[in-house]
Amino acid sequence: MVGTGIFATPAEIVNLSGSVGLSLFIWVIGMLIAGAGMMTYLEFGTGIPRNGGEKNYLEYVYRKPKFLVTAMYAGYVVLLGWAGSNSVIFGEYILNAANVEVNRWNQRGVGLACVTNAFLIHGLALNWGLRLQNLLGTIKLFILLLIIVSGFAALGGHLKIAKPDNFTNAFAGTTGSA
Amino acid sequence: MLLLEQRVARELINHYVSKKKEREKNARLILDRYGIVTALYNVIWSYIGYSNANYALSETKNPVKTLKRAAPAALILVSILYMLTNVSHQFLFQNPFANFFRSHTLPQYPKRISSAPVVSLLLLSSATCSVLALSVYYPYSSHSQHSEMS
Repeated sequence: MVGTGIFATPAEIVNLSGSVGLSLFIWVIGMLIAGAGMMTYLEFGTGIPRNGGEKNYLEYVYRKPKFLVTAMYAGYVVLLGWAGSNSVIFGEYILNAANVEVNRWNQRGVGLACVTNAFLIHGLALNWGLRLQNLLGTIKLFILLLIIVSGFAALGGHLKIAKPDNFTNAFAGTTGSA
Repeated sequence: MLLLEQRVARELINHYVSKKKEREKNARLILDRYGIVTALYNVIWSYIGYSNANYALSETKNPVKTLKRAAPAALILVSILYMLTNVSHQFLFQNPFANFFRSHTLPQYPKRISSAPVVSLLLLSSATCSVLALSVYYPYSSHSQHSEMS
């Protein structure tokens, strides 16, 4: 669940909403909507606890004509695969981090290498794939915690930066229609 | 007569200007609405991924019980972390609109709290995880080994 979203978007959310206060409210509203989606999947998952997610639920509902939904879902997964777009974004971030100018083809190249590696690891050494994934997940949570701790350290005056006061007027600049 | 014409012209210009201002204001309002909806969409997208567990339920021990506990627990934990991260961002930056992952601010960030490799590692890990997560729970693998959920 913890993906690139939380690392890359907070400033964009503040920019789009116009104020710190409203952006925090948007995060709470987003959480409630995500919670509704999660409850739906919880309902489906506990009702039909099998591998394959949506494929099973669609097959359960649309039984005739036989295999139509299965074929459609297969088409959706293969043709519109998310891993593709995610890997291109991965390429963009890697190149940004390495201070290399990003263009269409080098970002796709890195993305392709990433997806290929993922398939190789999971195809040839499933256990190592799981270990790698757990390790990366742990690093991710650890870094999120690092950001949180450093924020509160700054509040306590333990960092050598000017004390921030972005909350003194948290709703200044809130965009008009809200 | 000239005076009258001038007055009419001025009235017309005033009318036009006020109309134009009104139109601009409306356009900005519409733009703001788009901004908020886009923001909300991005936020929801940040919480996405709760459905990934559903792709591997055959491989989970006691799937119903596990899912019932794990899914809400994950959402609650992640929400708390996200809110704290957002608040923390506001403590770290003078300008609330600063984004430490934009390339122009990237060189400044390491000087403040951490080193450049950490930032690269973070980007690497979170993006790799998304790709790995989607490939490992590929919907048609049904007879593989028991695997722990992450």
